[in-house]
Amino acid sequence: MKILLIEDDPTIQRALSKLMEKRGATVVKESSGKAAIELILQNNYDKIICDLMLQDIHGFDILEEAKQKYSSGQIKKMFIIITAYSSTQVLDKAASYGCQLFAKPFDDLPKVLDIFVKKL
Amino acid sequence: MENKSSSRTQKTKTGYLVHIANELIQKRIFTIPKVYLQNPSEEYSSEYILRLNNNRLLLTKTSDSQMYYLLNLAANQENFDFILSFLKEDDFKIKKVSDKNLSLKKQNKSFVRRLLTHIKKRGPSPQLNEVLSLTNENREVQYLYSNFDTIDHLPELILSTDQFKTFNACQFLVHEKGNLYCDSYLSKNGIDKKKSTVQVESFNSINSIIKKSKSKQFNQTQILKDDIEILGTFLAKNFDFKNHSIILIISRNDFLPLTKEEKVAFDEYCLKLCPLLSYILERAQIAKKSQSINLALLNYTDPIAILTSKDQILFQNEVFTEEHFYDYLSGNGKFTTFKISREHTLVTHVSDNAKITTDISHFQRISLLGELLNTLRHELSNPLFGLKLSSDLLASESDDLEIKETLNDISSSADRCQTIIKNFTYLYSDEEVKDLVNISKLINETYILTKSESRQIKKNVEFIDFSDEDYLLTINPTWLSQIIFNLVINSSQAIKTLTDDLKSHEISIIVTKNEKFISFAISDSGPGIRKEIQEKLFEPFYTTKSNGTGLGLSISRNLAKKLGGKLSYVHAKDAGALFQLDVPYNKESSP
Repeated sequence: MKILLIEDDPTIQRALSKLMEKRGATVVKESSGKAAIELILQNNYDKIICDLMLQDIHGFDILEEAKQKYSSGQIKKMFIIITAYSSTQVLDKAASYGCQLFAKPFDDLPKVLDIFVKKL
Repeated sequence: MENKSSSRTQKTKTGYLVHIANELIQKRIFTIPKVYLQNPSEEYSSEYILRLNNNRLLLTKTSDSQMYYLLNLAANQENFDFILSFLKEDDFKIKKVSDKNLSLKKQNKSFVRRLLTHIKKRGPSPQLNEVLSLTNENREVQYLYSNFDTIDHLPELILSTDQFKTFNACQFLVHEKGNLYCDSYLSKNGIDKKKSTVQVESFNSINSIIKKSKSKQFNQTQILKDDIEILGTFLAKNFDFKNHSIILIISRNDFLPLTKEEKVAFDEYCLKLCPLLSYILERAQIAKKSQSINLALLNYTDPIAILTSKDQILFQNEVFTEEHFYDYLSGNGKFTTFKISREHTLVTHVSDNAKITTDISHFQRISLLGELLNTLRHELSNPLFGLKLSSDLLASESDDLEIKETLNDISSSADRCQTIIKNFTYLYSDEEVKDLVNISKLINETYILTKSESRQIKKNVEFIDFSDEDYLLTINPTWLSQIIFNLVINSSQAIKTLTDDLKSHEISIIVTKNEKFISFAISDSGPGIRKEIQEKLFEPFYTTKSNGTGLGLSISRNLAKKLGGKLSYVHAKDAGALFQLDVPYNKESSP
């Protein structure tokens, strides 16, 4: 299970990757949105967990770029959005991609982690 | 006019022949010594007037037409000194011209017109100005002065004077100190009127060249500025006023040097012009100010009007309608009045607007705070979540009990921060949502939110006549919480004005379930509310706190209204304040 974690908050990035690794996943960490796009286009991941408010670009921009490589059906399954800005607009946009979205802080951490590492 | 009055004077042969020097008349007409009179038994008084008739001076009993005859004569001769001394006389008739005396008014007007034609012919002179200000003919004078509210017409007027007939271009550059631009007023050949804007840098450079020059005579080789629209040799003068700098340039549009006489005449004229310029600038500033005030009043959001003592509308702003006017006259609706002067009263319509104003302030405050809190919540969520995740992770990995406990404390502190910020966001969202809430829980949460003010003060909640233990109510929790929040904050602040020993004081909320309402009685052991203040309690912007907004209670009352209930002050028998909030409840939806 190879997971790409795009998250620019260092404590969340480190803690989440450790927790997922504990559940047996291989985690690649990235905090830059642009670098993440390169990684997605050049490598293959089973799951991509993506924060929305990044320092350089917006998480939805990454999803758009991923369309070069993946069908919208694949994007819907692969991508999981995590965000602290869960406004209605954000929820609507996420729904348009059909991805799962979890608002930070997660209400039920173990359950969310299970979903992260669950095989497709 | 002149001929008419002159023929009339010839009919009245009541004149006395006097021997008097011409200079004396010009100096002061009313101080002629008695000895000069042929009939000394007749007492001299200001009712007498001297006039020139067929090269003879006559002292006659004043009739109005004669007086004007004399004034007009002097005006024709441009003897303004004479007119001035005449007009300055205290009991001079012209000052007493009443509205009833139409023929006199007419004469006065024609005299002023005569002066006006002089101004048009000769250009403005401060002396003439003074004359006009003394003639008491307001409308005419105002008309004339309206030409002098700005410098617009000055260049043209100067070129039309006899002494500057040979010149054909005149330009004023006016700089109001502190501005980046200055205004240019130009007249060429007495026809082109042009107003334009000039950069302050070029104004300053021109100004300094003029200041340094002794001859005050220039040509374009010295000042090569596009901003000066004058050709050839020219005369220039700079004026310095309190708030303005002015440059006057006058030219014949040729390259011939100017004569010494011309320079002297120009200097003399500038000297005379100085007080007039100062006057115009002052007028312009007053005009600007009153224009601003007028616009402000006109666009003021509350309906306002100025009424005369006879209840006629002198001024009304955009929102003051005829209806308002009749409401005011018939005593309907709420108006505040303020007597501006003996004749004029300012009338402001208040009743509905106070509410609108509070609503607007409330809405603005809520949306601003809501936005702010929303941003804060999201910005804090990330790091708090990181804190929680990391401390949980580390706690699970650590074997040291003490470290484990500390990390768990960190985790729960992060949780608490998250809850607090979440509660605040809910408190300040203005969405109309109804939720089934537990009143007990809501009050306790609200108490927590007031902690910054109510710390140490005992806080109680008591429930009466609730059959169940859940205290459930379907209501907009945000609004209910905000009303309670405001009242608890008020109580806490009131208690603090009384003592430092906060622990001996308490705030209590008694919730009673009635047939149709749930009543919240919020009381404190503070100083209470004085009677004279009680009436104004709910008025917006009324506050007794040094840094209060005066909106808390009026917002609370509005919110109570939105909840379908009411908030009122109940006079408490003991010390302290007691407020009661009644909100309706639906028996079917709330168990």
